Amino acid sequence: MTQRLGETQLPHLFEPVTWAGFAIKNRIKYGACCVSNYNTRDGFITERELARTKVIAGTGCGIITNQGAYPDPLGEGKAYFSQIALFDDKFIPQFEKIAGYIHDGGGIAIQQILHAGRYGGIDLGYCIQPSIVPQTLPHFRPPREITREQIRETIEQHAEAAKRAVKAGFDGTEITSFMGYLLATFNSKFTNRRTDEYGGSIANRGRFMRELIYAIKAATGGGHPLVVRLNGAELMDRWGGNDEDECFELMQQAAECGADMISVTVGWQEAPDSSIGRDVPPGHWNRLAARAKRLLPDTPVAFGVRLPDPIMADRCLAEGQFDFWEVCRPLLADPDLVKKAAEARLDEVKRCIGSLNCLSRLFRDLPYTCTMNPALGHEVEPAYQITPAASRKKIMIIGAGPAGMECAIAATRRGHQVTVYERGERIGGSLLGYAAHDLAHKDDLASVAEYYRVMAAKLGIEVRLGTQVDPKMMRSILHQFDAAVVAAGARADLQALPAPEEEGLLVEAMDVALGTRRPGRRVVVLGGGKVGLTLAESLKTSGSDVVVVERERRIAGDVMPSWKWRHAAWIEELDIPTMTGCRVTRIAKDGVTVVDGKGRETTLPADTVIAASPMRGNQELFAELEWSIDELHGCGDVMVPRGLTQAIHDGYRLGCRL
Amino acid sequence: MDAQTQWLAALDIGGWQALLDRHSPIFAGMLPGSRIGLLPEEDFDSPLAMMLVWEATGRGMVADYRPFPGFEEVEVDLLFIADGETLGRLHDRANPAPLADLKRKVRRRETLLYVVKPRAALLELGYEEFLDSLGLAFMGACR
Ligand SMILES: Cc1cc2nc3c(=O)[nH]c(=O)nc-3n(C[C@H](O)[C@H](O)[C@H](O)COP(=O)(O)O)c2cc1C
Ligand code: SF4
Repeated sequence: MTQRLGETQLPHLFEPVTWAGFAIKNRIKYGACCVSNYNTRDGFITERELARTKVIAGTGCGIITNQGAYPDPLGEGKAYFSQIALFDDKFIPQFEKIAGYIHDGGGIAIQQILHAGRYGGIDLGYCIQPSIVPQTLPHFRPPREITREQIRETIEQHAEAAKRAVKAGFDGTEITSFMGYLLATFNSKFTNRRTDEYGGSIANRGRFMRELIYAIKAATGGGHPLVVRLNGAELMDRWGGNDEDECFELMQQAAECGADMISVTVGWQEAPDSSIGRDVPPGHWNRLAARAKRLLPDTPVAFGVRLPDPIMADRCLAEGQFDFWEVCRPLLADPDLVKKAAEARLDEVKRCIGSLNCLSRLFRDLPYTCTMNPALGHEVEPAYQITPAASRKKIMIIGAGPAGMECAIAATRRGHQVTVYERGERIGGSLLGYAAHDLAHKDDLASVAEYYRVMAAKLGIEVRLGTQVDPKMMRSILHQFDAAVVAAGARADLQALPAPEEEGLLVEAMDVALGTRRPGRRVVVLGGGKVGLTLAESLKTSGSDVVVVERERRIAGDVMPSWKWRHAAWIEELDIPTMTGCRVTRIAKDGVTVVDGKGRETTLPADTVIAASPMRGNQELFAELEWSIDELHGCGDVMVPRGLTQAIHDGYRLGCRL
Repeated sequence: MDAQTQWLAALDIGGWQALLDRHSPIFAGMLPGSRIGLLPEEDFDSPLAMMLVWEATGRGMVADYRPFPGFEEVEVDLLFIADGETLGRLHDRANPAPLADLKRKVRRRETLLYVVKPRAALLELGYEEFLDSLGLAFMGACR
């Protein structure tokens, strides 16, 4: 077979290999990244899940791991609201379908058995662990100590579940200690305080894992490899968890008793440090994989935590840091990532921007979705599919922010002819401002705007930059378009604030974010939501004195749940005072006067007052355009200011139905 | 002097009671019998460990030292594990914002907070204000 350009450029990634007797087309493993909450409460797989799994099967990965299924009928191992189950033969037919899809896509099928331990028992009101160590996160259930009899039963249940997976056609299985699940709680000193043969020394703590490995291998028989996911770092050592040396000792134990692959992961759900957020630089954890490989030269090692870049992955493979690139979120954001890499079209990849929308939703017992990939989880719904347009229209889109560009790309792919009008000089809208001030990893958010630029050029979407759409302009192009989409974004609503007593004192957040207004040294930011906080953090970092004033009782109200702590921590680290539950009564030369819930008045000196809330959609154009075009639509913040995820999803959905 | 004797000697109950009295509005909603434990990190594994308990009574919060019986037996709703310095600062009458200090430590997870009772039970017991003051809403999982 002739190699595609990208395959020659990334020769290690696309190198066919043999693993455990299986010929594998490349060194890419789809990581178990799909606990989805799409299924029934009693563990059956839905059409929604099957449609999603077909997409996963088509990603082109050499090995594909299906999401973790819980193995016990009681559900002590069940962590997620509608997690799939594998404790009974009645589930086998659905797993047969999934294994079939993976094989049809040319992949090796691995089924993960996930007993969530400390994070399990979602329907039971308790969880099981080796010892009673209370939770540190309030949404999990109080623990009960697992008895020796239950340990034996649990191991059997894992083995039976693995046998069912193989019976359903899966080539191998996987167990996981990722993020503090049952296996991790036995391995870790943090949760394992037992005094019997399963606790104490590292040899004893590893006993559960070794027995699990032996039992599963015995149950599935030869020819069905077992992958063991183990932490290279728990990030719990501050509180008595395992240190890295112990983590690696456990890996060695797993390898010595027959694990066919070690998948290296990082961190517990309750760990104090970031492990997968945008604030972790890509490649940060690669050293853990390299250490595992040095320790276990004869055991294949898979790794991919916060390693979103195929070029970096290829280099790591070349250097022998690991044997398989194990990808998760980058393939949620763009299921065509591998294909695009193979065809040297990496500039067309929609990058995972580490927004953590996916996990935030799982932890709220919601089906997971992806900021960057609006179709994820909606594969079964026609409203989310790019299908040929019934009639080809000429469409004008006003605003080249995420909503407008998503709409433009989807509509163009369906056959419409699209022109985008943008007031600013660049594609990206307010996202550009937000990206420029993001303390976490500017490049991630900036990549979204760059993706739109590339796609507009490749799809031939005409983008007229520096063009203001107003009634006069509309009259000049009257009857040239069949449909108009207003995607003009939102701005802080200055009318909702007291009129400033001096001109130039009150500025709009986006003007500061985009660099068109420069704030003075003393800044008061009105609004402690994501826009206000991002600006406050950035301005403080560059030397301003900043105070944040928020009407609500807490800051970060509109921030993604898994990211709230990040802003709260930055605000604290940067020593930015926040005044919550406060109303602004006066904006004057001597400062901003605010009144708290108890009626106490404070005046905060300010050279610049930045309005970052409340936001209001720029809806003026609707009235202007109503009688000058056949179809008029709106999408994104212009309708309701909700932020990036919703803007992307809104724009895409509208593009799919125009 | 062993660790627990040191901590008893250095941080008198009067100081703790003063802290609770100064911050009584935060605890006002708690039902009698609600209990918060604080344990010095150094004593965590000692069979002789003493824990400070703040207990809600009909007359407000009362501070008391009690033996720490281990996780299985402990009868508190929340349990803080903090180092000696953090406890000292919390107890210090001259500290203008002791609970803000604690909150900062918890958020950085330099002080460990065990949530012994589940969230729903804590809310039933009237912990909303206290949890809010600790910024527990910001303790995102899977960072
Ligand atoms: C939505 C989602 C679901 C996940 N489900 C699982 C799972 O079922 N089992 C597991 O071991 N890891 C699971 N993970 C962890 C991933 O496999 C992976 O280790 C982690 O996301 C880091 O890799 P990445 O940076 O490529 O995303 C999940 C992660 C996400 C984001
Ligand atoms: S939701 Fe965010 S973090 Fe999750 S895969 Fe999508 S872009 Fe990445």
